[in-house]
Amino acid sequence: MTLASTPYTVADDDAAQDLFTRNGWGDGLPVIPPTPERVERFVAASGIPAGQVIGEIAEQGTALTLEKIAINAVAAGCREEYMSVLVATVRALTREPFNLHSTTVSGATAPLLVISGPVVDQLNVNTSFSLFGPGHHANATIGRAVRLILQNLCGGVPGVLDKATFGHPGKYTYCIGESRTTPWPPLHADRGVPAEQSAVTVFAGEAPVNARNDWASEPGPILATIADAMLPCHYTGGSFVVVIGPRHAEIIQRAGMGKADVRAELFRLARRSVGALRRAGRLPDAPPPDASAPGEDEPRTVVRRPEDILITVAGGDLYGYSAVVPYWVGGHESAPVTEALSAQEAERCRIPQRETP
Amino acid sequence: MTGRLVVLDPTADVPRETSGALPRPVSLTGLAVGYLDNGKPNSDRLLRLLSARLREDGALEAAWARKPSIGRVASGEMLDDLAARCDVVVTGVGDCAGCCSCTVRDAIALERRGVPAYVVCTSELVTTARIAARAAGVPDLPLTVIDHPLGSLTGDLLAARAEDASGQIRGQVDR
Repeated sequence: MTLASTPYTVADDDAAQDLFTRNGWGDGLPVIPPTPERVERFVAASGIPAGQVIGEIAEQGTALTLEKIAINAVAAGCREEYMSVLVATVRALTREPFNLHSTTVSGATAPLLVISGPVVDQLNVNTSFSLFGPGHHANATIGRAVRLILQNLCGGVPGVLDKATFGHPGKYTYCIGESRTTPWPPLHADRGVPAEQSAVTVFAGEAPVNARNDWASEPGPILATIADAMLPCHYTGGSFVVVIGPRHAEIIQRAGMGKADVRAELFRLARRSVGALRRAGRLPDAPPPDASAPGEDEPRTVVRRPEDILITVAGGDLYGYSAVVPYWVGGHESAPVTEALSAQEAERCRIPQRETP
Repeated sequence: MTGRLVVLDPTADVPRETSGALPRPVSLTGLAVGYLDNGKPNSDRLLRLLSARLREDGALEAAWARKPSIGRVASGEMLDDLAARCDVVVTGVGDCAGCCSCTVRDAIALERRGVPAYVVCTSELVTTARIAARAAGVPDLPLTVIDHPLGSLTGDLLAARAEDASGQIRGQVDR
């Protein structure tokens, strides 16, 4: 196998860490040294030639080759069986509607990955307790590989091109799995991918916000709580990811509601009046002299239409929680993208049983 | 210990061919000047003030375009249209990381169409602009740099930025 990347010869593992740190090639955590042997294994596991371009960023004039994806996957600590998911993720991120350039270099945003379908089980992607938290190899390292790809290949070097004021913790890793026991069809089925397939959905999200309602046994108050958690957003017309916790999902589904009903109800509830936004200083223009002027009661919805609310089910099933992930400041300038894994790609996502992490 | 561990560069280490920026005209007098507004708050105002100053020098106002999306590069059609109608184009204002790199790429795309392009960016984004210019193969693209910030300015402060920019554009003379 011929690899095109520049090789650096260093004394040992510590020196390899120094090389990454000195060059700003990482996220600040130690990396697995991407040796040619490891990278070749990852390239082979993807079934794609090393030189093949998986995605391009017009705004930066850059091309993301399979080889570079593999190097960053190794460095992030991935298993080679994750490669097909990463390739699908890069395809999704580099689709024009996602606007990878701008979402990489500004705003408190990171691409949230929602992995759905059978590969969730095959790769042991966490869909349950501590969903956004640590402890699971696939979530931790796939999300981290995306971060390293964004920094090393897409200009997202903090403070250099990435001028985000705060960033957010999901910039280390932001990868969740959709529950495989959801009462509804999977997320990707809402987005044009056959339900039985596997897919990755990417979304330029800010940090998740918890919506706790542990007391209601009817959908009404639960959806009101979730809608309330959606209100502190930018009102720039983006999409929302709403992660319905399993207990909430069960109550909502038992009442006979489907995902379209949930979207419609959240769209109806998640809005503020122009006057309220103005009083909160959220609108740039000064208030009119007569604050009761017509227009002040006009509602502003958090999204432009119900379909812009992406519903998934995941999280621990002990308490009544859901979580909402607000869109980045650019709102409508970045749309979520769902990318299917082909049957062949999904087949490559198989970890030998004895090695199951 | 002898060097025995080989690691591969994780960055896009592709050697790129570079070229110089197009020569800037000695004077804008009688030249058709186009303005490509990147859509950032106050960019339109700054460019309007700047165009008034360049008109005082005898520049002809030939075309105005405003990008529909600040964080994306301009469409080929928009650039073709500007290139067809203008001798030079002024574009800006790059005052954030996302928009500044796009504005630099727009300028270089115009230069590749034979039209010298003046990029206006703010002082905090010079590094961003330089990285974008290098990545696009024109590392020495001249920049017109005004003080950061821009978006919240009004009145005299905005006029002073426009004055500063027009002075720099007059000074960028190659032929």
